[in-house]
Amino acid sequence: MKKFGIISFFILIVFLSQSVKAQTYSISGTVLDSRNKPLIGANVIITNTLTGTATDQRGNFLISGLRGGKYSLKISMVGYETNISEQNIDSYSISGIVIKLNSVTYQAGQVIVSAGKYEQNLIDLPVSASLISADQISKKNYKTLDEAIRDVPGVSVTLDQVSIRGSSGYSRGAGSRVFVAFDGIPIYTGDTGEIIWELIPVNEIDRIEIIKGATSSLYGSTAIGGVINILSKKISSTPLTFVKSYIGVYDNPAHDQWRWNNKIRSYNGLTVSHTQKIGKLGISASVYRTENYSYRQNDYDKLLGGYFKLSYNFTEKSALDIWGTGYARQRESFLYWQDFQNILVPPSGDIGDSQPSNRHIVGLTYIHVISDQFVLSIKPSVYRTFWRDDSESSNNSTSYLYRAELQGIYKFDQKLTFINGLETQFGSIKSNIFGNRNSESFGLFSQFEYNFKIPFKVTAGARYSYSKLDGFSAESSLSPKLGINYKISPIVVLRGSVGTGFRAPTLAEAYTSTTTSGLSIKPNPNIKSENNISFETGINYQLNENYNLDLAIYHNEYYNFIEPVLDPLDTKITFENITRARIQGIELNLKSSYFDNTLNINLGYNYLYPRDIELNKDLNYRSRHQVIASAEWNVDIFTIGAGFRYLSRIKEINNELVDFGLIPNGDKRVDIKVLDLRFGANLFTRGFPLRIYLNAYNILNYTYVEMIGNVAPIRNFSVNAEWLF
Amino acid sequence: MKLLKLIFPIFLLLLIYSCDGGLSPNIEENIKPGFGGKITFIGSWNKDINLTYIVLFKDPLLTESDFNANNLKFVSDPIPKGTKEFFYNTIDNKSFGKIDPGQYAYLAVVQSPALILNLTRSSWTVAGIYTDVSNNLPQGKIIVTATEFSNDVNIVCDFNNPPPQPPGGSK
Repeated sequence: MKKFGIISFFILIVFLSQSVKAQTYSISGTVLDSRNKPLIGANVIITNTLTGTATDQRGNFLISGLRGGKYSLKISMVGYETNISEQNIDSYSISGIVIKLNSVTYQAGQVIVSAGKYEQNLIDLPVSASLISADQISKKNYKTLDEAIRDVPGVSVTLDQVSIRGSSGYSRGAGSRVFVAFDGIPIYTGDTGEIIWELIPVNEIDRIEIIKGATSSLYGSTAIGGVINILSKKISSTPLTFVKSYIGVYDNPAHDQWRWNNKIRSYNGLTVSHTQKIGKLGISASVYRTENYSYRQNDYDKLLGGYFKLSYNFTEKSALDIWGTGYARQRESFLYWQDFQNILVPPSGDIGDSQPSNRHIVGLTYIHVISDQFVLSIKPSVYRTFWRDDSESSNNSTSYLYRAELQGIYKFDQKLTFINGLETQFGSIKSNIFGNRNSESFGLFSQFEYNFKIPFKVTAGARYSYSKLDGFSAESSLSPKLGINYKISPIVVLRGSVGTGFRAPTLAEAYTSTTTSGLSIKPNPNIKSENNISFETGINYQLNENYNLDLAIYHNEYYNFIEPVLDPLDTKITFENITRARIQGIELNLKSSYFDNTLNINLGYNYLYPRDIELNKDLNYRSRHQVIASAEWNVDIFTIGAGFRYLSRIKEINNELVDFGLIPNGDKRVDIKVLDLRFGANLFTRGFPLRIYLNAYNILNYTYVEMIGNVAPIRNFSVNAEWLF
Repeated sequence: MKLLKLIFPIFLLLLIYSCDGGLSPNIEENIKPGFGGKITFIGSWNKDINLTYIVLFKDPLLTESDFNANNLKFVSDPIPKGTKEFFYNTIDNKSFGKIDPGQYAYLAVVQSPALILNLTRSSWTVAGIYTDVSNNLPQGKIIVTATEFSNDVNIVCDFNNPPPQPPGGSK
């Protein structure tokens, strides 16, 4: 049966690839910025088809295999206004066209695919959204994705657990409230439901789209707090090899009392990737290796990973992408500090503990443009994870998560767009702390967007979700959503949305039973799903081409909110429905540019009021105030930048962990104030295949914790070099 | 440009505001609230006893339910069976708990035939209760100050003359 399926699949590929053998032509050209510098990695796509490419190191692109006719090229890149270029192929190929993209302060002319699962202009959305470009990732030498999203207003990360507008506190990764996906395919693990940021190689990212607020109506259970969709780079039409290498060193801790080692503590990484097209087949592959000796004892981390992506265009109207990524990792365990005099050293009993792991995910996307109105896509994936605690607890877990999604987008005309889909998921775990368990879920969603004659858009939709964990009753929920977008004038846009969300507990939240480093966790056989209703209203004001102001006010009511709590009867941690929570806030973003866009300054502020209604106190591990500020000055090939991140002192933590002495001096915490500086040169624009950046992180050597008993990285310096040839 | 003139001072203020360095070990060094002393055992140990601890409760044990983890603020290292004298302090001889400055209602030595630490009131017997004679405080009560570490918090456990038991003891 399996053989028959494989043979059928290849027959299908051969059949679909036997397109009409006719005279073909090509379109080639160059994409430049407003200062006539080549833009590398700009996406060039023929509209209403799946044919496209990315520009090479000289900004050049080539699209071949086209038949005669009129074509509309869409050229886009994060930070630049999308350009549409009409081309008419008569009886010869077109070459040498030059397309210029203008940079924008706000992403007004940019497209985003994650808010509605199809391309929309960012300014037309009913919800708040942010973008991170590949260029930002490169300049700041973000080593993992979670470092990048820390710099987004309204987003916070506690150790490695992401939270959008206070949706999550800290629960060692169990039960994310943010749907994180790679090319639309979720990357949360089958056991704990956590996000493994290191799984995605940062050099393969084209952009990161962040949707703030509940999006369960489209994405289901995990999207109760928002969506982070990581989009991979398009494959270049010309062969490109990319090598990135970085090395960094940690400074000494701010106080001599905390020094535990006289050696230089360093980190390094190397990535080699290649991309090219062979006929209709596009290939991209990377191998990467990272090693971090850490500023803390027993915190060494070594990872070896690989990534591939195969893109095959059967015709202009049908294409298949297969991608896979995975790694093998050896990481020592640092759960919390020994005490306040030894904040960079774990309890003596933990020294030597480590956690080997390997994780692999393979995803497939098949898209078929059935007509100019109707596009169908299928996205199956499988994600395998394995990890083991080499410690007294000897915890281990192997999980598989199988998932498939079928989606159809129908555009009746320019006014009405319909999106419908269904999704199914099956999870399987073998573990000594979760047991041998299965889970299954199913979702059916439908959404439409209608553009009225006046610049007013309405989006409405709903999703039915069904979820079943072993040993628990099945739960289901209907999550409707309504959004509006109204352009009051060409420079003022109002938006608003209301929607409900639903999140089923993960197997880890229901079944974890273990003791590690003195912390005991017990299962909760009575845990239930949580629900929320969220409201957001916002206004975007484009003062002129250099200034953009965006204000959002949000309000979320949570029911049966799941949080980790300590049971006072046996001092064990368990995940419980704490019944009622309310998270309200205001987010303000100001983007500005000066001196012909060479100086860009962004300021973001988020005020959060996260309340446990039952106990009348703040929810744990949420900062009320967040400020994100950045400035970047580009002069010729040089870049100078600074970034500042402030989070007010967390008001509430799991005090019981401190009171019972489980985390000695764990109540020690302060405001978070981190200043980063960078300087770099991009020689690509001079025809030399190198760019190099120097980064100084936490330059003030500010000592702080995100999670109690865990000092965040102290001052460190890195240099990263990238070759593209 | 007007906005630029506004933004730069904001950046400068942020920088100045960030120069305090964050967490500092010096805050902790001068503050060591807690106490220590000697536990004296008089008489023969009951052969059924397996666990002996010094415990500290924040609020009085007026009912059986007051013997709970929220109320329990400190548990010492286990005291070996058959010990005649046991010297302790709340920093070095701590199983769990953190002692903040303040008033505590009940400091005592408790014993149990159980093999593992538990919070079932009926499995514990009070062997000795601290009494602060110098400050004329009620039996069991102790005051912990922010800047002083008391070294004379001594408790006598006379097996031949057991102290009054709080509610909910062995039936």
